[in-house]
Amino acid sequence: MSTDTIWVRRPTATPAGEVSAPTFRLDRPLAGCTIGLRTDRAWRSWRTISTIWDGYLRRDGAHTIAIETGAQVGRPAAGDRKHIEELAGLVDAAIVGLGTCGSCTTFTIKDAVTVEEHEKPVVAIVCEEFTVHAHNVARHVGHSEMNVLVLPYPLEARPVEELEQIARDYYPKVLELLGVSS
Amino acid sequence: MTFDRAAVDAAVDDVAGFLRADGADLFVRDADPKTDRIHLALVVDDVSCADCVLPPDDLRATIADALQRRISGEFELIVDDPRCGQ
Amino acid sequence: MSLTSERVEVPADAREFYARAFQERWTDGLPLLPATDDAVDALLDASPYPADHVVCVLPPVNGVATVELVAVNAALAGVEPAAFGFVLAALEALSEPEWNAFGLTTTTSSVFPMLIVNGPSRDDLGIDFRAGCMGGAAGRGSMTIGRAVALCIRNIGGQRAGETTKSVFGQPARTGFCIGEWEERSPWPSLAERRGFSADDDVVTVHGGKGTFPMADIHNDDARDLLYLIARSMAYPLANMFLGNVENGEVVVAFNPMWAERFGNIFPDIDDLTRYLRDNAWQPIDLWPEANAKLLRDRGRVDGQGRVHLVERPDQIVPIVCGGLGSLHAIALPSFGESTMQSKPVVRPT
Repeated sequence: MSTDTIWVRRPTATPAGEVSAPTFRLDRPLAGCTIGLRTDRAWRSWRTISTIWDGYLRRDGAHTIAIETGAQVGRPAAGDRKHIEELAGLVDAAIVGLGTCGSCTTFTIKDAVTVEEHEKPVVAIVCEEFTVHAHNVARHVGHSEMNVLVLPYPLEARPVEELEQIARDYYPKVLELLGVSS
Repeated sequence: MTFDRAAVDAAVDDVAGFLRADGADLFVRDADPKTDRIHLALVVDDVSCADCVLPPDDLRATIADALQRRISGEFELIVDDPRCGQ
Repeated sequence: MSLTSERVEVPADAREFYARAFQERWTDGLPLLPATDDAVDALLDASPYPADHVVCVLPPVNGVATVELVAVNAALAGVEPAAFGFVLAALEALSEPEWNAFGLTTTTSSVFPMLIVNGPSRDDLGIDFRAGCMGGAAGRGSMTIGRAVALCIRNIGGQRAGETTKSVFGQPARTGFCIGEWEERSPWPSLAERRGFSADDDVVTVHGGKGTFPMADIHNDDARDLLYLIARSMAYPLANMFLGNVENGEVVVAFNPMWAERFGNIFPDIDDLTRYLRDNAWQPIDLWPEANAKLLRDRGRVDGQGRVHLVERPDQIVPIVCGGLGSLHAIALPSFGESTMQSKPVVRPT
């Protein structure tokens, strides 16, 4: 190997710092709380699960507001982001999904960040394959401590009975991450 | 840019050389490196026997060959041959 | 010029530098040129902005792309100074919010910025628009400008397959895709002119494209019938644009010059051409299995004739003219969907 060297400039950017925005907890029972649910037009599986959770939340005394998003650009996206902003202002906490592809995980985190920036507890719902990606995105936007609930992957092709079981199994974990107390 | 005018002129001159022996001629209407179109015209006004000049298809092939020997890359060849369409 | 990016000592030998570039994770897999101070300075001299000017913030890791850092990556790619402004323009374009770099750099999809260049500098800079323009023509501008943008996304944006991007396959354009439009062979105004620029402007348009979708015909003499087939071909059933919002995204369709001339004869007004393409880019709802068909119906994608149109508006179909004189082929650059193409002029030092 030659010993001749030259000097070059590093082409990479300095990594962002590890400082994270704070996360929040409800620290009270569900009864009387308003919980937001953000679904995504693309994913039937998540619509099934979130509908079941909507029912559980109301059963447990919460008031719920559900909104559906589905766009990342254009007029539809402007509407979606506005609805998320409004939701964040109205609710005591929110459940935001679904991250089950690359860009939809990115936008799930983006919308969850909007809720967290309103100093509200939020859980981002992400499928297992996209867990690392979700945490990366959260870190890169300065919210590395964000609560992420990981569901099995893939979800979309599962029969309704399996989705219903997943909804039952994971509901307690959602409440735990939101900081619901008994 | 795929060709320069000098190369086109040289190729046309080569072909025109033996056409002139029959009283015909070939000239460049336009050669645009921006469109890669080479537009030539055959003149047979002074030819006593138009059919004695190289037939249209053969003439076109001869011109194309002369151009390809001087020009790298593609070009679109258009030859106005008054014998065509008669 | 006083540079601020970190200095790194590397082997002078080309092959050893290549190996080191792998260790440092600077490379897309292809050899790089060393970003020496001389090389970086020469590029900065060709920039209208100071070295510390922030061009954009690049996802996925939100790296800050200063002009200097972009110049370092452009030096790695071998961009010549006269072409550096095209790299800057491309980055400005793709960082517009409506291009959706945030989504496109992280998606499972194969999407990547595909650069389309208009303007008087194409030939001088080796931006390919003739035969082999999408691969093989080997123009320096095409190969280096596209690559520099790709290296910026990798090195500044931190896009790494399997790590920060979930792209399942990637695509060849992820080492760079930069073509010109053959404006002189187009029967219509150029892409840049249609987007509000002057014919004298050098303009870079960035399209969130998923790759090259080839179409071929050797039979059809009727130009209208051929366009019909092109439209129906673009609306392939698993196109991204059937998955999301019908009003988002564009499909670029590249016509070779011979076909463009034929199409221009029957559609001299490009708005009529795109309307025809839009009206015929559809599939019958019955094509899809019921699970997919139900979703399309639920999303209001099925018209009264049972057709699912690829796009809502004619302007979502974007014709350009390029390619060789061999005819017979068109290429579509299918869209990711949730992205709107963006154009920026190239700015030069005053």
